[in-house]
Amino acid sequence: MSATPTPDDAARTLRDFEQHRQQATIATGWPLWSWIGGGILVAVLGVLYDLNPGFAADWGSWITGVLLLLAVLSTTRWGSALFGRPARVRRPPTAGRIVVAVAFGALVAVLTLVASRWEVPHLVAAAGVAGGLLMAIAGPLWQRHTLSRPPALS
Amino acid sequence: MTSPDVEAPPPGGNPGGGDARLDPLLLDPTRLSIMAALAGLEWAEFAFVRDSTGVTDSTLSKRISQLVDAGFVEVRKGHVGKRPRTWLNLTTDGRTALRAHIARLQEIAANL
Repeated sequence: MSATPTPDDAARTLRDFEQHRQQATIATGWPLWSWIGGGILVAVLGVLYDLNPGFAADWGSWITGVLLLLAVLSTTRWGSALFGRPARVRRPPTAGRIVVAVAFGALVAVLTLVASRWEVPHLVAAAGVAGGLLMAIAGPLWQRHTLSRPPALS
Repeated sequence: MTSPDVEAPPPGGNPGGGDARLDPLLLDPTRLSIMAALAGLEWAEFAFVRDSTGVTDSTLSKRISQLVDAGFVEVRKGHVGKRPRTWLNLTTDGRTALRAHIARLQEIAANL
């Protein structure tokens, strides 16, 4: 390409740019098996917590701690490499994302409060299975949708 | 994608009286594809960028050196277990230059 590209060259360059950007970004997603495995883990934990309350008392804080540790590790380049992820998607915290995260947290808190007042049998098991199914089925779709959006270059 | 190794023009320069709003460094397709691969990412491994752009280790090294000299890319080296790793990331200056370059290309392409 010469120093000043023609409109055709510029359009081709933009197409190539977008293709490279999208290929690289989509390749950073968690593999399908990790979504399915995570969904199964959530469902199994929900059922275990519900059917065996002693399990939650004995292991609940340990499991929460390990999951938190893994979540924090996965946000570092060393941790990502350890988990076999060669790159992480750049998503700078924007006001919109913060509002969505706060709204989601508030929704979960309200649902938990409302559910705790109901006398529904095996509610924790049902919530675990529903959450696990949601993670296994909707997780990969949500990830693909999120990763295909153009990044902020700022 | 492979292209012959070329000398990197000075960042922000305007050799040959070309478009001053296009960064000459980013007119090279390989350098632009590296920037494209890094645009949506944070700290990508060298091997990942090499595979994404389809260039050889040596070509990528040369292009990365040019982008580092221009202040567009930063490099970190480390180990995961016993294996050495090299991570690449766009700098703020790199994102600014890329944004301006892409905006100018969009203007030119709009004249189609």
